[in-house]
Amino acid sequence: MPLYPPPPPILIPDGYAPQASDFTGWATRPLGFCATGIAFRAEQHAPQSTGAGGAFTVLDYDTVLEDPFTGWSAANFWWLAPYDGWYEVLVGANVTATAGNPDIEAALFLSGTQVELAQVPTYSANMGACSGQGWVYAAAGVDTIQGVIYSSATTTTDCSTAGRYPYMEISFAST
Amino acid sequence: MTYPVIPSPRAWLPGDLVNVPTLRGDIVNTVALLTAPPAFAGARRAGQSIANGGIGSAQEIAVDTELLDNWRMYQNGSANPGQLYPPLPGLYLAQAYTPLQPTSGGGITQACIRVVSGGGTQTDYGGTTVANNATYSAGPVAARLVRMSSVGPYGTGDYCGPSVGQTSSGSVLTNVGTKKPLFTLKWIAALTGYAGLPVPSLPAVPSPITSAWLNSNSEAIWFLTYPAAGDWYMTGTQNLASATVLPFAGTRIGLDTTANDTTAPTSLTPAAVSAMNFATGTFTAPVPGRYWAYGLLAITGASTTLAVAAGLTVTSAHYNSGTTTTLWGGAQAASGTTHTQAAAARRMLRLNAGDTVQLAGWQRDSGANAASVLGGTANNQSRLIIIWAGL
Repeated sequence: MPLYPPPPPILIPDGYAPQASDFTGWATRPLGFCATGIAFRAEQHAPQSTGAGGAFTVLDYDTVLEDPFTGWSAANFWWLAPYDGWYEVLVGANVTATAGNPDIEAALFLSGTQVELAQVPTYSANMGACSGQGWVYAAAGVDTIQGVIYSSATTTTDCSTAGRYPYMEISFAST
Repeated sequence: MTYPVIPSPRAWLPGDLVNVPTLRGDIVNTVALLTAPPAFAGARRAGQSIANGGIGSAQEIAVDTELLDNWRMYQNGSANPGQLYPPLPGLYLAQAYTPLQPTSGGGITQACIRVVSGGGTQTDYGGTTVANNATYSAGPVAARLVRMSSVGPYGTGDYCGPSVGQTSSGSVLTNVGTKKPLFTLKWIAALTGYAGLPVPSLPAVPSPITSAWLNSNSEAIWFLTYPAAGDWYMTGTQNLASATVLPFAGTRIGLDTTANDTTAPTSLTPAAVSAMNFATGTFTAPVPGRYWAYGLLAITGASTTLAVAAGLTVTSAHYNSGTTTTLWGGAQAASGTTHTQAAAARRMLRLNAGDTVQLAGWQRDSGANAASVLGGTANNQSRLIIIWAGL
């Protein structure tokens, strides 16, 4: 199915003899957007070191699974919103087994502003995984979204198997 | 402002007059509903004291900040600002993040979704549990597909909102700043509809307009307002053996009870077949698309429990080249207490029709003891929620 932008309010005038082409704007395109929406999904397949407390580390996603509106910047590791709207963001911050049971947080940056989504302690002998979700309003072509991680001790993201990749998934929620 | 209503598109016959009110009622109303559905995003910015009422005695979080409330479900300053009153009947996806400030009082914190559904009893549905810590915030999460059928003006009928329980030795404040509690709520589906429809094809507009083309729009509207969605949980018993290593594919959790299921037969589609097979604990995607998925594993805790994890076991060509794998979303240290240990996984999955998803769990115990998977009570229900979210 083709990509469609979020539709403006549909105005069907009274007393107007429509052409068949009018229905493309009234029905096909807006319903098409409702069926497809806007989505972005990416994973990290190459491990990355995190800082030790204090600062959040932007997750350097290196594998884009889908980005039909081409919002991803591999240079900046952010996704630029293609249209105004509310977006749901899922962030999974997974780390390798690390001594001392470090505390980890999954969060996002909305144009650099931090929004935390979940926080858990890890167990030193096994991977730690923290996943959360949040909604943010993003302005088209202005606001960027990044997935970030905090760890209370220096550690490494866990990219050892397909089921452990850190991820960020974004979907359009509302105008 | 006139709010949209639950769509009820007509079936067109050759020769029907296509008039403006019908087009507005069918398409304009549907697009307005789906692009700006009843939705709320809010937060609790000021620290709120949460008593140590224990798990199963959660306390409502008094939301004090609305970020999005396009249908006026929330009123700041009301007697219960943590209660949101959906204006439209339907299934709503509720999600909460309920971080508490660090405490040296021990115990655990559990995020919950507080619900009154169908005019019934107020219930707190538990999410993850996180061990309290003297240095770090405990930041659990929760999600629930909520059935809101008794709706009315603000303050009447069904409602839902965030709540949190904790078991430390005293009261603890909710966290503030960038770690404040968050809550989102969104209309997902009508309460009934046509189950088992194919994804909309939305063919190009013919000239002249035909009844077949108009009906393709009606079918799209039925599909989009009643997408495949379900919330299934476990009420039976199951042991979860201890394992030292987080496996490639986790132990399947035996879901056996339906909370909500739009893929099940309805009065309009009595022959529909549910996407959930309890015999195998497996969800099979009925149509291709993106699916929002949430799995919660809740187990009995013990002083010897070291770690717990929840995952979504996926068999799909989109993941691991088609080889079944568990996507681990939660793997965390246990509290080392007898309290419930619960972890969650949440993903937006890309699935083909026929791909499968199962709820998976793992736990590690220093004495190699098995744990019991929980499901009997609302605050301890291992569950799987899946919602079709787009092509």
